[in-house]
Amino acid sequence: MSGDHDHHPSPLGPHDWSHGAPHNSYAPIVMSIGIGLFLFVFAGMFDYNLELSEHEYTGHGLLWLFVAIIITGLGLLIWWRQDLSFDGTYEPLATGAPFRNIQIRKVGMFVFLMSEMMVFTSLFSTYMRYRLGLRRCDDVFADGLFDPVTNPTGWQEAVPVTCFEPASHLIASSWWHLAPGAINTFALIISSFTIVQALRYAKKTDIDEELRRKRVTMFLGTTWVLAIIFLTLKMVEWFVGFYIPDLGFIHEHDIKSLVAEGYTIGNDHYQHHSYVDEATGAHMTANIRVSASTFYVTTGTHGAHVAGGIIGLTYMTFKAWRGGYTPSNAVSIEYFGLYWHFVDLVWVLVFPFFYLY
Amino acid sequence: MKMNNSSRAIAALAVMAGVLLLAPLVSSLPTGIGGSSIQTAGCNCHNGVSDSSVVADIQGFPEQYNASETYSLSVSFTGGPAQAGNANLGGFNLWASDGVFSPTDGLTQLWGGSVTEIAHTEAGNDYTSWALDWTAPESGKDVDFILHVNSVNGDGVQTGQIDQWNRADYTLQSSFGVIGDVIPEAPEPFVVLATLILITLALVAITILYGFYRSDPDGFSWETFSPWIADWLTTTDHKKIGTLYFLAGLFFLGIGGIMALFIRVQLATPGNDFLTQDQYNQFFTLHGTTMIFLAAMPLINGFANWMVPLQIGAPDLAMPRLNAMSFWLQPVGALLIFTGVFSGQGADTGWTGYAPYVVDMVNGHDGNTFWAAGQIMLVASSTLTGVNFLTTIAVMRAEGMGWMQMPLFTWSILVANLMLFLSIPAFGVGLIQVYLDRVVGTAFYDVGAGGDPLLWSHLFWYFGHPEVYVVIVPAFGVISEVLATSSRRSIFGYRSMVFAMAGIGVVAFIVYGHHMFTSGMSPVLRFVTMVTTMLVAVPTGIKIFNWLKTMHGGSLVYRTHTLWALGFLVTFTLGGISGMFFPSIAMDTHLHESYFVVAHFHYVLVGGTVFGFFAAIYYWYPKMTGRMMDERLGTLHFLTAFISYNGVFWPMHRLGVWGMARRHHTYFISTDDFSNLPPEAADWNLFISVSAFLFFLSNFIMVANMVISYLRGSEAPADPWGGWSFEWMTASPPPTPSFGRYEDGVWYDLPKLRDANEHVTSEPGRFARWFNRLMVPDDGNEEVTH
Amino acid sequence: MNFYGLMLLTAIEVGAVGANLESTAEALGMTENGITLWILTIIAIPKFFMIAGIFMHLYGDPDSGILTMTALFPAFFIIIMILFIGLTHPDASSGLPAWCRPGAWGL
Repeated sequence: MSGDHDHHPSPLGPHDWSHGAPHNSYAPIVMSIGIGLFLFVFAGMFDYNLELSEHEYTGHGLLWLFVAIIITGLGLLIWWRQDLSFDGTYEPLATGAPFRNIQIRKVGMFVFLMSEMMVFTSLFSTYMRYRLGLRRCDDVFADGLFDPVTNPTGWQEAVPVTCFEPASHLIASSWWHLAPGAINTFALIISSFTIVQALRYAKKTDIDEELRRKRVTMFLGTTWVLAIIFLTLKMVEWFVGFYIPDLGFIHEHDIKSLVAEGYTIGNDHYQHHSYVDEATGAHMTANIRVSASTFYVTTGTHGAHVAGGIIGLTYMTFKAWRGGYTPSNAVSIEYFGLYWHFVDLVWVLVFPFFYLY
Repeated sequence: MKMNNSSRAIAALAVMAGVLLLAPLVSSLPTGIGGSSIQTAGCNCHNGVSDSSVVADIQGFPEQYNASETYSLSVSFTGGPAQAGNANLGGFNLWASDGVFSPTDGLTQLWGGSVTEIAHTEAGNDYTSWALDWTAPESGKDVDFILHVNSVNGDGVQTGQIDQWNRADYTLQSSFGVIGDVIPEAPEPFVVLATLILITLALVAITILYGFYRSDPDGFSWETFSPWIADWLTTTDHKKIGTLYFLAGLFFLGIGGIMALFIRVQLATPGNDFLTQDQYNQFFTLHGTTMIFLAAMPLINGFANWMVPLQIGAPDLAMPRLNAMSFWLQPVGALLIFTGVFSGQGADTGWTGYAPYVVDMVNGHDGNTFWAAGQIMLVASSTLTGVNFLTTIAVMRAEGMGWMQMPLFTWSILVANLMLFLSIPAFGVGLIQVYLDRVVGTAFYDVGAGGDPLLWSHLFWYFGHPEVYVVIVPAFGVISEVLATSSRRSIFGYRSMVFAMAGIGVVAFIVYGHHMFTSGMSPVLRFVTMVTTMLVAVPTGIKIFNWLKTMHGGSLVYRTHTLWALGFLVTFTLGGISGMFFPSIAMDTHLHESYFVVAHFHYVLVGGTVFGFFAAIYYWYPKMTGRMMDERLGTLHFLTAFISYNGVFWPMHRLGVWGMARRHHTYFISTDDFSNLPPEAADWNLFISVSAFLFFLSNFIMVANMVISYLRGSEAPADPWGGWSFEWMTASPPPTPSFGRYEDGVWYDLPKLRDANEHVTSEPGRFARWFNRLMVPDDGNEEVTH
Repeated sequence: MNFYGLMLLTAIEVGAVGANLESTAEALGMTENGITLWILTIIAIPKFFMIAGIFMHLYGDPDSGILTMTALFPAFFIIIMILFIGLTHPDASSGLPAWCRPGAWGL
């Protein structure tokens, strides 16, 4: 193709990469419009009830939300379509020290991960701040029932106490409650392993092309499945709960979801079965909105990053199935792998400090 | 007399010593620097207390006043402290917002050096009623009167039962309008704003269309227009994206300026009612957000996109499509931020968006949600930009260009982007927390549920302080380039410039607490922040001295960009000095939320960033468009803009020291015990407002210059100013790709840097050698290090 | 290999939370929560390095020097954020050591 400058740049894809990256692309402007519309519509889907002083979901504009998601998806599709014919020969290497001879996009991914570290640090700092600043509900409960004479600093039954109720109080209360979180940890670690294997097979030069295609697809697909399992179990743990029947060697367990237990962001009169005063049967109610907010938003942000990874994995599995990964462009699996390992790393930190502590 | 170096130095030192000796004579008095009298506040005269048994009264007001008519008024009071033999006598002070008082006998006199205030004389002391004349103004609105009366107990001592005073307020309506007998409708500020924005948009669109027409007059049709516009909407070329950023930034600079003019119209006179308090809050919020996020950052990005790849000899940025994504997130984000404004419910929290008001669903405006949402998109845009630039500068430098051979503008963009994308996630997380609090009801900032508003302050300022360095450091880079080229020599102290910028970049993260001194933050942190803030001025000072020494060792050529660089040196230094009053916590407690702050940050933001980018416009316009700008128009622009700019912001220092509060929709100069601004404050405010209009209009000279030069300017050579960095080695404007060509997987004809010795004056030290061994792979391909 | 090591460490973490550590806590003069926190932190550190070092190729790879530096560069900023934001809640002084609380250093 040397000397042939007749290529027509396509802003909608597919793109001839032998002359470098695309000069034009509709993806950025379309995706921006989609994201803006999403934020705009989402803000209108909840109403603030002034009498009850709480937010309620109205579902107003759900159709437009889907339109926004579709527009963003279209933009992403254009981006991928331009990438599909990317056979890796346009992978320039860094020319300058100290990064010399490292692929440019690898450096870019590490730089991006630096900023993601700051995102999770901000979320962790918020959690740490509130965790250290508010008294634990356990400690408040241990103060005892209010009595004007003997215990003037105690808690009263009808008056919600503002305290920090860590999610671990519910999640780490039994092995069954812990099961989804523990399985998720294993799932992520296994998925990190499978992505490494996918890269290894994609880079192997001494195997048959068809075998490579099958192996890479299998490993990428497994990673995708494991990520889906992660999100599914998270949703089960948050919203659905699960029921274990009496199987003789296992007793019957009805594991309620966090939301069913009342651990929600709007709950300002939360009651837990352990917060019952033995002598009088009085129930301590707690305003746990801050605890729930920090928990759901931090673990939710991590979940959103997993979801982003799933979107990437969908594309990559499809591309692998089409035989698109060869030793020359296997590096893009490596870049995704870096992102995926980072997601796993964050989980390694989130799991003990939010689920167990 | 010929002076050699040492005698010049001694003379300079002598001048400085003299100044230092004389400085204590200019003391800061409780009544303010300069000696002009300050009104004693309210009625703490005579050490009395307010008491409702004293009833003040004015008789003689008409139903509505007529222009220039004189009315006889009678001021009287009853009641007061009981004392045997005392007839409850006393004194009075009457203030009017307009009109002219005149005493009719020796019992009253004009007070406070102004005709709108009248009080009793010594002879008029110990009466219960007084007569005086008031002449109505020629035109205008309702006139407010504030009467204070003091009723003494007559025993001549100030212990025991003491004097009692009280106050009465009156409002007198006018009977006529400004034109004939019709009172014109008050302008609805949001309608005016919308109209102005639409007019600006229309002008920009017409200009673009006209430029398109002139590029090919015969081919002016939809068939040629639609691929042209599609190319601009989808481009990933760094030069075109730079132009897009640039146009967007200039557009929003204008819009932000319009909003500033609304603010200045409102503040031109005391007690003005052009903007209600609610509207005023929205205007200053949007002014700040627009100027910082939609004007300053895109302007910087515009130049960065254009110049960084050219300066390092790279064909484009590392990730071109991501670059386009960064850009397009901005206009959509801007749209989100501006929704809600025209419904009258726009964000009104200030650009700092403090909690818990920002998440207040009962009293807060709905626009706060969209303000947060739009800024979330801008956070994403900035993060992607940071990643892109960092990667580009790290990995795509030309062969032979080591870190210490990069041009200073590129260094400044590197430091700025590092600061930006490390600090902006904190802001993004805070915004998401605000957005979720407002939309779904999380409780991050809900005080009743245990939320902590200080968390927002920390997250915001953890970003906010590095952010202001992000906008000034590229201006530093531009000034380094401009002064070096204008002095026809390389910059003095390149190494120290680099380390100063890197030092600023790191220290910026630990000084943010100085925005929170009065917030009740941890005392340990307050102390640490005070020390580090004082420290961060040192690298900046080093840079200023280096610039001065560059000019001193060179031979200055006066072009418009040189003038703007010199102007920058003056105004930025002044802004930096005024900033040095704030690290001291004691001073900060007095100056916080006053106009002194406004003066300081406008001196560094406008006098620093904006002036730096005006210099960049004049400097790089020939490179970007291939045309030369008109020097005479440029000099005219500089003179008018520089003078009017100082007229706007210099008096604000004085207003701040007097105690004029910022973010207040109006101010008073009465004897009210609430505010104690002297009458001159009103004069200075009017002067500032007039200067603001002049400053705004003067910048159209530059816009006109840009348009006319684009259409009719003389052709620019590759290197019109004699610059030495890579961007001057390509054509004006450069081709695409900017350098080299890519064929079959290989880049050909990329530039190489040779003979870059002049920047390095010494061998690398021990630390640098260790660092080099750590970083540079020992593959025999060593870069040029000396 | 790395993978099995990580699984083992996770199992220890889960076990530490499930087990009853009151006696150990009393012996060391800490609360049970405190002991659990220490164990979790101590386990998280090698997990972190195993994933970053081995899965992300930062240990032992020829080019890893500069990439590791890049990855570790934000450490300063992370520490600053945790110190200045995470540990400065006005009511958090009870858990912090005396030299870190208001009143120390004359402040």
